[in-house]
Amino acid sequence: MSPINLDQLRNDQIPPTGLVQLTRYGTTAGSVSWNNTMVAQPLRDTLGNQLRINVTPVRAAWWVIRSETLWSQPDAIWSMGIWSVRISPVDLDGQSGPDQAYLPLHSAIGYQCSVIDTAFRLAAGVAYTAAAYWEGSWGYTQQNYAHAVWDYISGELVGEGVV
Amino acid sequence: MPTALGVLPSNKPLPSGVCQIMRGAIDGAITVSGAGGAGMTDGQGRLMQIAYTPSYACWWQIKANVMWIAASGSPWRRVDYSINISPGDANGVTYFQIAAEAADGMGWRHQAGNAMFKLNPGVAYNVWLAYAYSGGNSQQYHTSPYNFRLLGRVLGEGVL
Repeated sequence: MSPINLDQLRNDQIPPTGLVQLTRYGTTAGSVSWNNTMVAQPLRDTLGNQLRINVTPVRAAWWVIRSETLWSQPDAIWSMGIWSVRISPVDLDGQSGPDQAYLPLHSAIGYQCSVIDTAFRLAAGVAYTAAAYWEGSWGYTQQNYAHAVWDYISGELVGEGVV
Repeated sequence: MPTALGVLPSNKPLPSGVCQIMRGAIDGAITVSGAGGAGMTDGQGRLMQIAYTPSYACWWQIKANVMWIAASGSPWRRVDYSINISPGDANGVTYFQIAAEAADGMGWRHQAGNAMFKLNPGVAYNVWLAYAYSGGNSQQYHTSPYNFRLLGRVLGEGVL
């Protein structure tokens, strides 16, 4: 798991660090409603676009992921929205998420941004997908205000220390 | 400034790229109150900690996702955690503190934290999470592997 000295890196492959992926919602703004009766499923904007990134690493690598989403709740009572980042297939450590964020919401507090930071250890040559998911709630209605400027998922491949 | 590839020594790794992640271990919660300073554990007694001994001077970018809930009956209270490093980094920095608020009835809330430490080569560093402060009553943090994360990322370019 130690980093590899520069002269031992293969010169027929790209440098092990720096490949980036970014997906944002579209630019048609609108709220998408979620609730506790809905099973876990990918988040989406009003046109069905998902927060999803893909990569097939040429060598084993860490996939460092960050996702942010914007939420509100029309109901004047505290409740909870839970969303996550999941990957498929499972990584080299047997991890696939859901790596979650819990967000308490109430109509009196308006919009709240929520952040997930996570990382997965990927095998070479495997096609991986990471996506933001709705996971559930403690009741009432949670709304993801979907627009490119507020909602995204990003990934960066970091190969050192894994090869 | 970043260094040209041909100037980098071939007997050392590329200066950027080592990552670490530690997740919580079990689905549970740990109660905190009063004076801060205690290390946060994964639910099975292991300190939420990552380690690195750099071969170059570098930056160590740290991210943490921690989830809090207030004790039953608690009004709105501050609850903070910190991202600590030992020994202190090249600038003498030893911690960053991340503040949150919690009250009974609002449920669990994640609080994302970030830190950046400048490291000297050849020094064995540890970064860990600690409960830092409570404004009163008591609070809990969650130790599920799905809800509790500590990440490290080494960024060497621009420091050499």
